[in-house]
Amino acid sequence: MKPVSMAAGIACLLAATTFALAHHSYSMFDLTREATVSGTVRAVEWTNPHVWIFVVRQGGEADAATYAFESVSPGELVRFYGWTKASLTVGDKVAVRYAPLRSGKLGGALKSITLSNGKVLEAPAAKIRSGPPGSGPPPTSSSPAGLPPTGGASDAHR
Amino acid sequence: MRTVERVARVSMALLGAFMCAGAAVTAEGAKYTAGRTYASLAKLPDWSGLWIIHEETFIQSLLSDLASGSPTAPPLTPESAAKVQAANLRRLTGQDGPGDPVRSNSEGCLPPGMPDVMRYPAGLEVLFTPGRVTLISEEGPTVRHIFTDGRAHSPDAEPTFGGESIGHWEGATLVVDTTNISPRAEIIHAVHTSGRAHIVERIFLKDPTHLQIDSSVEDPIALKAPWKYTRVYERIDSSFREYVCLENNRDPGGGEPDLTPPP
Repeated sequence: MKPVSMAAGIACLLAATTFALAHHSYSMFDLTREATVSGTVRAVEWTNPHVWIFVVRQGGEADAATYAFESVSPGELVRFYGWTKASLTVGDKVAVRYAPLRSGKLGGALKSITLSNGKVLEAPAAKIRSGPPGSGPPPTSSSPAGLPPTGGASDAHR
Repeated sequence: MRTVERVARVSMALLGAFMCAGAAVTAEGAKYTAGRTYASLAKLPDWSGLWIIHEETFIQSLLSDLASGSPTAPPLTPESAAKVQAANLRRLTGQDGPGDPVRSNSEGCLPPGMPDVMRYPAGLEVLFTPGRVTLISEEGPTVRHIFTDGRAHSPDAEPTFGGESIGHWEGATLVVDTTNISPRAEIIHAVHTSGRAHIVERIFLKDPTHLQIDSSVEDPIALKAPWKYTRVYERIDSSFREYVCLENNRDPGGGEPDLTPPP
């Protein structure tokens, strides 16, 4: 058993199970990649089945610079990730981490949003480490706000 | 044939248990009369509040179920296993594998149905009324009426996503027998029941803040042996949330989502 293929297998399993949280396939997103963009919140759709967040890239204008980010349901964000409906407001300055759309269009699967006050809002896609081992971003905090810490076994999969 | 026999056995057992309970019933009145008073609810355990499978537990359980050789893995027939592979491939790559495209219910905003709905990390509420326990899951949403009034399964029930559930109490444990499940309901993601699935659940408080459900799922087509698993729900400080999947489904086809910003 090769460690590399085993790691890949675990990554695939984790991706598949993490996105069992989503009501549809996340295959339109390249979960092996990560991108970032900074800008201003243009709109928040606090809706089922999924929350959508639209951000205008810093220095850009209107539709041509608008990124669309998809997450999971409001219930999951509230209960498991410590969000509230008021976590994000139109006009907020934010930095977004995301797994980009395969099509190359602007946007992707939301991993996290950092607000100007430093607060970080995470989403399930943050659990998927992008890129080859060692090249990804540093691990983010493992216990979502407002929830009891989870067991060490689960952290091993992050 | 076996299902019919089982239903008959369960019905007789329920009827027997009911008659032995010494309730004041005549032979004619034996149907639909057990525990039909609000006073009868006082002796039931406290299952109030909102129950949920925590996301971490949900993921760990899935990983455990999917692991090769896992004792909790569903004993899928080769055909079912191929569907799971195809569904996972599509989830990860966007590509359909060989054969017919595999789609899960949720992609089209359909409820997962029984038994898969009971393994989602969605809120679950339990209501006690005389002769009936009602389970309401945010996922779907799904309402399950579990009749505890002594009736048997209907000989001509229409298949539904939640199935037809007949229950009885064994002390503080609710034992639920579910049949008449639609062939559009999912056993696991992307694997549908045959329409002849039979599920037995034992539901009880593991401790004051955890509700345990031990399930045994049989399906003559999708499974080659009964699938037995346990899920533990946590009582959380939250309210039942509305979940209307068609509210803003920007991914109806599962391809490129609608990225248009709202006006």
